[in-house]
Amino acid sequence: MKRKILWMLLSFLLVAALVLSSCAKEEVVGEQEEEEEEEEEEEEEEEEVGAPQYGGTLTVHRTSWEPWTADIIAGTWGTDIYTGPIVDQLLMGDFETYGPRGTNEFGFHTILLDFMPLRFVTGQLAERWELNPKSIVFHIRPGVYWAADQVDFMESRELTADDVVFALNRTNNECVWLTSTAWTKDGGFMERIYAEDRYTVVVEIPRFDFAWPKWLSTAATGIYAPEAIEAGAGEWDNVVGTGPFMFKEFVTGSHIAYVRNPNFWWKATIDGKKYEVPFVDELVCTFIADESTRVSALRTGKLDIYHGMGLKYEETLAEKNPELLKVRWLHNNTSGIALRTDIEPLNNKEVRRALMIALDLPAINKTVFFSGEPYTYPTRQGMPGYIPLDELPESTRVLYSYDPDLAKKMLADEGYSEGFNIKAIAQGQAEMLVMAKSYWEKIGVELDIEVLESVSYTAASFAGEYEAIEHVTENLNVRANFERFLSAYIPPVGNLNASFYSNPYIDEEYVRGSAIIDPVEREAVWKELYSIIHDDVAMIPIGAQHMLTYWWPWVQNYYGEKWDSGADSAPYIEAATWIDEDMKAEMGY
Amino acid sequence: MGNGADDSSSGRATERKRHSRLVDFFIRLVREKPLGTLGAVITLLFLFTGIFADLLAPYGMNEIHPAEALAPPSAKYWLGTDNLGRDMLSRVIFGARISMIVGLAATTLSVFISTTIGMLSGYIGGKIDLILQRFIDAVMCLPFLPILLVIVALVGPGMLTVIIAMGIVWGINGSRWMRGIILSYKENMYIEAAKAIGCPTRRILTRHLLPNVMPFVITGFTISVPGVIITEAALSFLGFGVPPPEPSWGGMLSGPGRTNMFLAPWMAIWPGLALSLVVYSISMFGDALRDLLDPRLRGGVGRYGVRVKKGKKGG
Repeated sequence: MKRKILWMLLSFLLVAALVLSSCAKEEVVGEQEEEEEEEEEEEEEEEEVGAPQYGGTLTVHRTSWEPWTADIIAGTWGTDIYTGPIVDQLLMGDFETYGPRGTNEFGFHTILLDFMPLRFVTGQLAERWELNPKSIVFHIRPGVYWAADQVDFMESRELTADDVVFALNRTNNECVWLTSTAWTKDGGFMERIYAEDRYTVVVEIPRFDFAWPKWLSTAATGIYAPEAIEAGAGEWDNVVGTGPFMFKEFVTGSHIAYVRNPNFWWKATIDGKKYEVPFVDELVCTFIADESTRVSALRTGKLDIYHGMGLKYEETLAEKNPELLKVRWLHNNTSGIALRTDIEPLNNKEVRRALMIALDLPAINKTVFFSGEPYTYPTRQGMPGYIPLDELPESTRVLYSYDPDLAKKMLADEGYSEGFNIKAIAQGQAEMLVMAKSYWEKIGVELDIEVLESVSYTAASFAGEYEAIEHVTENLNVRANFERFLSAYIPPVGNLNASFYSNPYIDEEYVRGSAIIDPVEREAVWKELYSIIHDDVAMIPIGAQHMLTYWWPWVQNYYGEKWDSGADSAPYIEAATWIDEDMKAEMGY
Repeated sequence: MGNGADDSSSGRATERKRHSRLVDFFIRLVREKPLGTLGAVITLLFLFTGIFADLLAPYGMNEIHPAEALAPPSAKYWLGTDNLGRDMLSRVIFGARISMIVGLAATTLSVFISTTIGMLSGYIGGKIDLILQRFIDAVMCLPFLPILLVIVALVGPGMLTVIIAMGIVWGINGSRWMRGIILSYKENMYIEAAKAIGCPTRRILTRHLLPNVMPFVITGFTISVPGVIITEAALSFLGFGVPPPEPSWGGMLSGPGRTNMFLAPWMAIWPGLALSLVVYSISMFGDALRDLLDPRLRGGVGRYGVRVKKGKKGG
């Protein structure tokens, strides 16, 4: 009996200690919150680049997603994360000229080609190209060789136009996971692909499409060696490319490792001098599923670079590991609540507008994302078609004011003074919907939230079994962004147009705008269409969140650029990065 | 003639009971099992907290204060706020409703099912036992959580679904254990005697077997409650349990409590503490209840309502 009481007391003291220690954080947290509020610019540490060093291993975390195949065609978006170090594309972002290590006009925190102005794009395997209304001609770079030292089914011969033609045709004919109607509609974007000579590839197209970089230099268009395809491209050992690295090993649940390609064609330019790359002997990409484990790996020096960390660890890392370098960037997706524009009462535009006005969007953005940008809808600053908030017409600007009284009046004017019920589905913690529920209660709207596991959620979203749903738009991908609002993407064809939004004018004008070669003229069309979409409130935007990329000081010639799916510059960035082993040892790692 | 009977040989006098069995039970509970009493009080406190949560909670269950998200305990928010600025005290109070109701109801249902199946299967035996046990064998081969997921997926998430699903699955799994107990108890002489005098099966089961296995039932109940509460948390985590924004302690622990543990440890401490307290209290109460209800302790000085008077020894 006495022992039981003693254990109870000890347990109570332990809990009390934990509680008191957490109470003591109030002032510190408050101070740090004030510091964060005053920060308006990204933090960036500039380092002086010393003499490059060869050797060592660079360990990077990009994503915890694991590929199930080495063949991009048989895989899906994201397979190129891991084939990118081996397999090249036709184009890439010109990070050396325009990125943080150059003129810093573009952060390269996400590298989707159809986001970047074309002037930020340079050739990877394509030395130069010509855009015509009915064709695109690529001039393939001579002197690029396949890295086939580790395989016995081919020699390390020169890459030719025939190899590129083979790869593009394979994508056009066999890639089943590219369900975009623009890719497959009317026989496909690529009507005919052929080699005009040893180094010239001609792609005949039915009409010009502004998203041509996405179609011709994206995840599915990695240039594999034809011999590798015949040997079985699904096996990692058979993957042969022209990229900076060659495959070494794949350990499921752990990592994928690559070794340097000693005959890599590209040279890094540092302080005006060209260097053979990669500098490191080995590149390791980890698959660590749990975020806290990834943070621990970073803190203990097991990870050299960590892409895409959420902000909740920023304070802890600043305190425990102040030597870490970091850069903050805005995630390419905008999250929000999509409303069914075809179901009563949400088919009433004024009702949707009232629901948006009833939400304190900046507060939700800050609470859910820790730090973010609320105004990134329907597109964001720097993107074609973007209109600053203060240049919007009053009727649109009012949507961003938090005014529950006005919202209630608007509902009453539309005959909903008693309110109504909305059924919503979501995955995970559904924090946006939970907060929306609280705000909407004040205007008489009852939100019933159904949280589903991922398979059920996907099925329900395809079947349209909801009136509202947590949703994202892809702001850094013009084409993918518009797909959220085109009739062709309404479920069950796909679940991209979660609002079931249908506007024939938008559908027609988008097709017309896509075919305009002149970017200025095209942007005028985007602005008009975005204005309509914005005002119609097919989706209530909560905004985008800030993310962090961390790296250790011993990682040299690296400026926090992020990789993303699409034309993959990341392996080139990593190839131009070296490890200062002396510094690493001095720091005790 | 007095009220009691004199036991001249020991010099002690006993009195016949003056209270009802229930009152005597509580008197014994308080006098002889103080920890059990404490456990009962805490359990009842939590139960009533859950029932009267709307009156007790200072803020609404889902009332958000975004500007004060992740605030530590203070005079305004006694237990701090969570990542959405909701008062943790209010969430814990409302969570008591879900966790206690789900925990107690599902466990009660599971105990009822396991006792019923176990008693029927163990006592009657023969073909009924054979068929039932083969069915239970099949159920026990399947992983526990996927079965729950299938049931909840078919019916739809919600508190009632969770209670019924967990009650059925836990009950079926627990019936094997109850059957084993019945198999040993049915061989006792008093069961044979009851059969010999012509007691019907129903009477034997309810009057003779059930009271004797009640300590095991209660022990099984107290052991199961925490597991049920944790299982409910797992279901909620997977999207099959009580949906947000309804709070359950397990869901608060496994969801935002875990992900924000470094920033706001109180988000995990309070629901964890509540869960621990309830588990401990129910265990203590269960221990006390088991001792008090054990029929083997009937008679002699342990008899209900019998007060022992100290007297002079005869000589």
